[in-house]
Amino acid sequence: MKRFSEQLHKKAMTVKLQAAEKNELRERLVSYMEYHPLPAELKTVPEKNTLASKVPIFAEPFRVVTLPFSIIFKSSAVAAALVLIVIPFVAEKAVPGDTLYAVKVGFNEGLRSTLTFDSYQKVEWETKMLNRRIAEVHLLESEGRLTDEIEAEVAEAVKTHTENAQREIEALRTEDADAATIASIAFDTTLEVQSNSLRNGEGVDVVEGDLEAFSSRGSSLIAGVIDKSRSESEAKNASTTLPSYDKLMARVEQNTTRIYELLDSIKQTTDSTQLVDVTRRIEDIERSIQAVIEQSDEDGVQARKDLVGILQRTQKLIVFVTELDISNTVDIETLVPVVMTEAEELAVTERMTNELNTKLEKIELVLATMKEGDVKAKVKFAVNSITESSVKMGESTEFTNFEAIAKDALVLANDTITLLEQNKYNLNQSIESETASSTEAVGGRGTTTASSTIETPVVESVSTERGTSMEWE
Amino acid sequence: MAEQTNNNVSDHEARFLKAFEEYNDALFRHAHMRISNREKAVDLVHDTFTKVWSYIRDGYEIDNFRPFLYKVLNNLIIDEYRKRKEASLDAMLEVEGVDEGSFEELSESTVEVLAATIDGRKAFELLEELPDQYREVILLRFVDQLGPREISELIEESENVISVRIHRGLKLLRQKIEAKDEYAEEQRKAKQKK
Repeated sequence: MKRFSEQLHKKAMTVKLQAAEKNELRERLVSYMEYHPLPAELKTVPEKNTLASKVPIFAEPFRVVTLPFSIIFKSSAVAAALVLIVIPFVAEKAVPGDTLYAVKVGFNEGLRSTLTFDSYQKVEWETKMLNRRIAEVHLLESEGRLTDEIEAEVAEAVKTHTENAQREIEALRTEDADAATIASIAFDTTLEVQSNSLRNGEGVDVVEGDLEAFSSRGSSLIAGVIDKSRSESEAKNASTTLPSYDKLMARVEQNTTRIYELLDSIKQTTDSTQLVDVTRRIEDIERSIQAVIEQSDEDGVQARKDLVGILQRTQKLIVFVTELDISNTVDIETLVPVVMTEAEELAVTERMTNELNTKLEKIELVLATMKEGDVKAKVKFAVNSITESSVKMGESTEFTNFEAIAKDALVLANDTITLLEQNKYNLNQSIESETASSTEAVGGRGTTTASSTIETPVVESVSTERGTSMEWE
Repeated sequence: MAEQTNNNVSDHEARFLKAFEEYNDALFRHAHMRISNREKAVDLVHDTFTKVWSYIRDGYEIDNFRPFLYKVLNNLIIDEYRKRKEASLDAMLEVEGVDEGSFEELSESTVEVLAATIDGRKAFELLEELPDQYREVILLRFVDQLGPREISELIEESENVISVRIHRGLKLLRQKIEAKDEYAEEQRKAKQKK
């Protein structure tokens, strides 16, 4: 380039004003200057800058900034994408205390709230946000980052969300009372589940150590807020009537569909026992729905009440499946207990009766060999009570009724056996011949608690493996 | 006080005249090569300085005369083109638009490579034939030896546009030179045959 530019420059340098031209030009200019002298006011202005500061644009007319528009557009597009897409996306994972948490709560959730118009959807969205707040608390807790400040903040947020939800429910009530009731059922159920999970977490945490014990305070603070709003909303709902059968049924169907979808989506990632658990609940719910449909012609009100119960169960199941933290802290059995089929009930009845009878026989055998005294009187009294109970058990037609009596009787029998063992009476020797014919339940667990002995085989297998299978990925 | 004002005035006058001495040749050269008319070029240089003087009279402070002078001269040249209406300036500007240019055209080193293939003396003769858009930037770059940023500020285009124009201008120059060489070669051969 040097050669070119030198050559060109050199050649160009030959172009210049001749001396005469230059002189003439200078004279023209000087005379122009004489005819147009500098004005008086300029003369009074001291050197530089004062004027420049008054008219900054004209003072430096060559500081023209050219804007590279293409670059500006491109970079602003990138910036806009960053602000509108990337940051909110990243912010979704933020927890209280993070820089992007404000974006999550203020922008992402604010935007979705603004875009939700239907009151029913608003209730659902408030519920969702409530779940998110609590999930954040769980996450922080597990990382040991939960501070007093944050827990107060979250408790406040939880309160706001519940209040918002309740306000929306009230608003909905003026338009569509049935929908409002259904919404509030769903909302209350979620509150119940969350409160359960927080309280459960507490128990575990205290055992686990100081750090968790500290964090459990946060949970209880929030649980308190939730319980308070639960009692409030229950008081409000007490006066309301049952929603219509059709609407309830529609909602239940929606929920079951949702559960099936959820089940499909978790099939890949969840282990089989968890799936068996959930599938079992779905079967229960389907059966209950069938029962309600049969019943609806005869007893409409009862059918509706039952449907409300089913609705709650479906709702709980949904929350259980969708909220990871809940499945980590709460047993599915406490949330949605298994509802047994008639065949299962029959099996349980038979098993419990057998077990009780076997134990009673054992005790009676020993009783016959006992010497008079305090212990004998006690055992005798127990035997009488158990016999009474077993009569009642035979009479009772309701399974729940039977179950309660049988449980009590079994506890009493177990206590009696423990008492005898403590007094060095040998129970086994006297019944060895009978062990073979008695149900397997007796052999394995003479002293297990009543509640676990009545579980159905399905549930048992689940509960034994639960320790390792709780992860819902 | 009176002395001070006198000082101020004479200060302004002295600076202005000094700028005239310093830049009259360069401005004349630029004007002459742009419009190819000696008398008109002298007039344009004169007008440039009187205009700048008017600015000073209006009280505007001029820190750096060179870019200011070039700016005024450039505007006057554009006015001159408009008067002549040889070619519509707007149409000329539209041709270029806000073309971003290819990577090759934006690179300073390819400009150097390209420039190295061109004979400066021949280029000088042919500059006149270039569209003013290209002539302008080539003159500012290689004759007036302004930097890309100065040129960009002067003609109010982005540095990219300047680079692209220089690049294309040089290419055009080379084509013209080659065409001319070929023509001369043919002429010579024709003569030999005779």
